[in-house]
Amino acid sequence: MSNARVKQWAQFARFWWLFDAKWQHPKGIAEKVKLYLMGKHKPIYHPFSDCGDQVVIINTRHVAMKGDEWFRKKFRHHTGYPRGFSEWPAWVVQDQDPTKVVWKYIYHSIPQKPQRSTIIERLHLFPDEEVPPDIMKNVAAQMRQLRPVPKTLSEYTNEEIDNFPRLFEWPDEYIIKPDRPVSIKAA
Amino acid sequence: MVFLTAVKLLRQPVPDPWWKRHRIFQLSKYFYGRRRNCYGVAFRAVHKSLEQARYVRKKKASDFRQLCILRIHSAALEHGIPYNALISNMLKCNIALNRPMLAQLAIYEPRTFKSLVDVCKTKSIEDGIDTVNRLPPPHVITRGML
Repeated sequence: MSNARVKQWAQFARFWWLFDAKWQHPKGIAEKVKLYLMGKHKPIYHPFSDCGDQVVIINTRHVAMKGDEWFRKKFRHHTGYPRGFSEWPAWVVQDQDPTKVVWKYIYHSIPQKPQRSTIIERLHLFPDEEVPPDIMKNVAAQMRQLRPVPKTLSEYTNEEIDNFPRLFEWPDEYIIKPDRPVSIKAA
Repeated sequence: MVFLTAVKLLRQPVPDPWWKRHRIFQLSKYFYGRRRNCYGVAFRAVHKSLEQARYVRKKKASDFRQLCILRIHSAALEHGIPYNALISNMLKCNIALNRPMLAQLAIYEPRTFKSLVDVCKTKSIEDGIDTVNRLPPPHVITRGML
């Protein structure tokens, strides 16, 4: 009995990926994740062959944008009726639903074609690290993040801070001026 | 006695118009409505369909090439280099595999494809383009070594 059948099943099986969206830009997430959803990361890709994978994104609450982009980036919606236009800054949408911003970026990065609705069904977004067990048991591999997540100062232990190499020591009498406060222009 | 004017009375008969219309209707057999059966409408529809066929013949070739490039790019990324690095280094090494062949190798001969990728990585390191990786992949023999 040859195992060609088993190899065929293994080659065309739908794969489940995990992606940690913490401190990543939603546009970068969209550009990377859409390839996996459409199946373009596979050498056997064909638009008719429905070879896309499932992607689970966690920590969508903690996505990051640069500077005041949370205020400048607007999501627009028109109901189709007169006076039905509305515009919302990204931070309002994020407060209302922490997965919506990432979902919109991914949905609009996939080309507008009949398969788009099936492709987006295979995307699973979670605001924090809690994922339901029936989804988590399918997840097989994790995708590499786009930007490295740096360690915050509070995550360093006191010993590491003391032992970190210094060029020079400030004298005890020296007063270090506080930084200028960041001005954020509210929408 | 010779009847000379009789020769002038012999004129070529009008060819049967059925044949001219048949040439068009052969191509319009599967069209919708009057485009199938009425000559004037069918003539225009058939000529449009022949124009489309000519345009699509070129597009089919370019669509297939685009698909091959996409497949090669995704296969090469699995090994760490993008499509443009692979193709440019293969040109420099005089490996004349075309895109459809490379796509077939990427799907059905993965180890062969990996060895091609290794050759391209070595070439880019030896040429000084790749400054990040100092060591070329193992088992690649180049001209300078022999």
